[in-house]
Amino acid sequence: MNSILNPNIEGAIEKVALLSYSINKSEKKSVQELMDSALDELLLFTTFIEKKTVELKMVNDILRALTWIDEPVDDDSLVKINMIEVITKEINIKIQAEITSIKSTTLPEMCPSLLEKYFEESESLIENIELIHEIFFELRQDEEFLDLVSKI
Amino acid sequence: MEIFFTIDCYKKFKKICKNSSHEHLFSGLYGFFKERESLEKWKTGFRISQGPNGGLFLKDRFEGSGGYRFYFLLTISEEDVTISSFYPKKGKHSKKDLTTSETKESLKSGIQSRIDKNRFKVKFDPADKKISFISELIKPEKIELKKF
Repeated sequence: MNSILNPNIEGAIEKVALLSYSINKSEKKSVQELMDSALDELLLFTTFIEKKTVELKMVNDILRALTWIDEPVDDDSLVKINMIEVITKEINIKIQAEITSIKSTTLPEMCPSLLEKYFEESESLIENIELIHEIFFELRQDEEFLDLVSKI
Repeated sequence: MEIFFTIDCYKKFKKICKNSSHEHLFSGLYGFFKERESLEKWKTGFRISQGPNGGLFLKDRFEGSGGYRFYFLLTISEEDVTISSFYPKKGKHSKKDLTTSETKESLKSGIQSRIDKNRFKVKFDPADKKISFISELIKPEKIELKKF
């Protein structure tokens, strides 16, 4: 075995040198490529999450602003508000599925603050959808509540 | 601009603050309330409803999504704020949200405490940069000038 690998010192040097060249050349290139590729993917992911966080915040801002509209809320308006509720609930279902996938990976450890903001904005969406429903379809339709409001 | 807590809300607030994760509230709310020096700056969050005289019942948040929620009445004529519910979203004493009946009860207690003038007023301590409370029932002593 030894004689095949190292027929003599000169041969050993030659083999090691060739292997060294091969290892350094191929490994360096492939590791760098893999790193670049992984970083590109991570950058794509963080950009995607940043964009989603901004969009979710916009949805939350729209829901909040909805409560400040002064026009009288008639049946037509309630139908439209109900549509907004349905659409935002659909957004939330998709977001929650994505969050479940993300949480099953090591990504929350890799980009904690970025994902924390995203998770918080999604939690706000759930809270705000429920609040919008409560304000327009329960409280503002409730005689006892409206009687109290008249005393503010 | 005067800020009040209802008696019930004050008691719950003090209980919350006993927990180490919430004890920063006395200093945290100092800056938060100080910045809201006018009625306009209190017109924030979700408008739950508005009365015929412009008075508002609102829900807002302190320290973002994972922080705290508070419900309050904004009285335009008297330029005062009555906080009727305050709770953390995380940690000890946390709540998911108020139920519809709890929201109604919160408004009811806010209105009643304002009518009774039985609330706890928020005091600002600039030396410590913290808030403290004083009962609305305690009036400053009247100083009468003696007639000679």
